[in-house]
Amino acid sequence: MAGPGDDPAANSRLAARNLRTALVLGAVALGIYVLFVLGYAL
Amino acid sequence: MSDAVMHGHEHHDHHPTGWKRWLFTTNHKDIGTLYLTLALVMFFVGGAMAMVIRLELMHPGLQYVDPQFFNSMATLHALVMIFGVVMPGTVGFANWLIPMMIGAPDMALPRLNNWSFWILPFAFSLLLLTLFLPGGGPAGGWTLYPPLMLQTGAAMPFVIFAIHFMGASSIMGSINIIATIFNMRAPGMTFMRLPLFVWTWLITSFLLIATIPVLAGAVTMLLTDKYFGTSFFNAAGGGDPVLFQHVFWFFGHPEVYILILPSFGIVSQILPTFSRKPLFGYESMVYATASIAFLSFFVWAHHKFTVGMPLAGELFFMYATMSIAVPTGVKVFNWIATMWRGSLTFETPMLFAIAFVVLFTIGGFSGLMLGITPADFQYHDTYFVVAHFHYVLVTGAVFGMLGGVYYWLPKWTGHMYDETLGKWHFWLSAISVNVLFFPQHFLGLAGMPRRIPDYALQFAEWNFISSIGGFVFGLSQLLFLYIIVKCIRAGAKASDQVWDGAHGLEWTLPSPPPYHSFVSPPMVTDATAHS
Ligand code: HEM
Ligand SMILES: [Cu+2]
Repeated sequence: MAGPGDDPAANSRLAARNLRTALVLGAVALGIYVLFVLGYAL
Repeated sequence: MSDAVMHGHEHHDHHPTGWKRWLFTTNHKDIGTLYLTLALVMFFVGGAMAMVIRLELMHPGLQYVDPQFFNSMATLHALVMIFGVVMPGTVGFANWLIPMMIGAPDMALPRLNNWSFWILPFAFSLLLLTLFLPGGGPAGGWTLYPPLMLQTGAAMPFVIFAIHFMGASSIMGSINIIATIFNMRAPGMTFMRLPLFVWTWLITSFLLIATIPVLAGAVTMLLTDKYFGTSFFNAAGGGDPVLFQHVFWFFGHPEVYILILPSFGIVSQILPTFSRKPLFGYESMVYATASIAFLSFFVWAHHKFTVGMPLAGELFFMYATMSIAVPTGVKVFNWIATMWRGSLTFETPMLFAIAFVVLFTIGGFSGLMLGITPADFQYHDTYFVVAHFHYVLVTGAVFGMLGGVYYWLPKWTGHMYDETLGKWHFWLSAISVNVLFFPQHFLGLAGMPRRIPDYALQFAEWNFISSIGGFVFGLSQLLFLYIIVKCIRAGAKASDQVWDGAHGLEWTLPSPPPYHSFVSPPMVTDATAHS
């Protein structure tokens, strides 16, 4: 629930958190795609 | 970011101008504008295709275009309207509004945001340029069913790559929206204080992340079937074309909710403002939206009852389909209860929102009829289905967005639009759209098949009337374009709140809002939260 602040440490924590969220969701999407195609292909 | 706070004002002026501003932008408002502009352009491209379709169908017999081209028009019209208008349009709203509504300075992942948008012009160029390839554009319908789809000429790989690009864009956009809503809310903006538009987009994003990869997988398999000798869907090689239908609709039905949920959100913002009452049943709206999304994963086979399934399957999908009517009914009830005893005024956004409630519900009812398995054996692949999905998509998803444009245009541009012309646009659209699509119910019930360039004589009258409605609807949208351009260039100065009944953080910002929405996060309390 961090907003932007004038605290650089808080900002870089927020950036790291955004990146983590993106990586997890991206991995889920890619996982569905790969499992799906491989699942049928094998 | 710390710089932005301390030297907020100097910082605002340091963004590139001219074409570089748009190409390199990482700003949520600029990207929102790009998405909305793309959607508007594609609305006219897809609309021109619809005009070709209605022209050919105005009279029985073949008169203007050859059947192959007609089929291409029907296929591309659907792909353009779904992937090029409703999806980018609602993402445009999300970009503009979500940061402002939750009290954030921008989206969580601004560079990803730029990329998500700029993939799309390439995707649509690929898709539309197929019309100039040997064999013409794709003509097997937007559902891409094999074996028909496998007979497409040189266009096929282009169409599939275009769909992959669009899918990648949607997934990146969804990731961004989820990260923004999870991580960037202002202090005090708890989940149950999120404006309903933000909720509907949060849920839509999860639907996209879960289903777009399935579509991408299915079309990849089509590609390997055609070019790499696999037989996933090829009966001659031991595959099963019906498998494609299952997989496609496992994506396809959630997709229709991807198209409608953001408009549910828009309408849920507009109705309280012009009723001067809070949204009735906020929490039940959130739960209903989530239930609709969840249930949408278990109804896919209602699109293929007639293909042959075990009786238990037919029954399961029938009852599951009916059950979606419950949360949908909750939403419609809440919209009406929001207006009940409100002090209503009927500015253009409200007119579109009310028309949405009435006409979307008509589409919901025809959906219920189609969901009854034995009845669908008659209705399937007729114009009744065409009437159904145009009620939910045009008078549903598109009317929601039109209402949303009028509602937020003063906030976006700083000018009021021309209310008289807005009303003209509404009434012309609302009347002509019914002349266009209502008769298609009759045609379908009488047995007129969909996706055909010619038809039997007994269908002539209603087709003629439908085409007239279509031309009037198409022309009315030019008025919409004019109203927008006029509003961007000039108009009465809009106040911050714009509408006297409007509540929510976006209305606390100036009109137009500063380049970075909230450089210091606002404190959100119950009083300042959603309308
Ligand atoms: C209110 C609940 C709804 C029910 C019960 C329902 C039911 C159905 C059924 C059973 C069909 C298949 C008809 C056939 O092919 O024989 C269908 C088709 C369709 N529906 Fe709905 N629907 C509902 C809402 C929606 C919404 C909200 C949208 C989009 C915003 C939508 C978009 C479509 C589309 C695009 C098709 C046609 C797909 C195609 O074959 O090209 N529906 N609906
Ligand atoms: Cu469906």
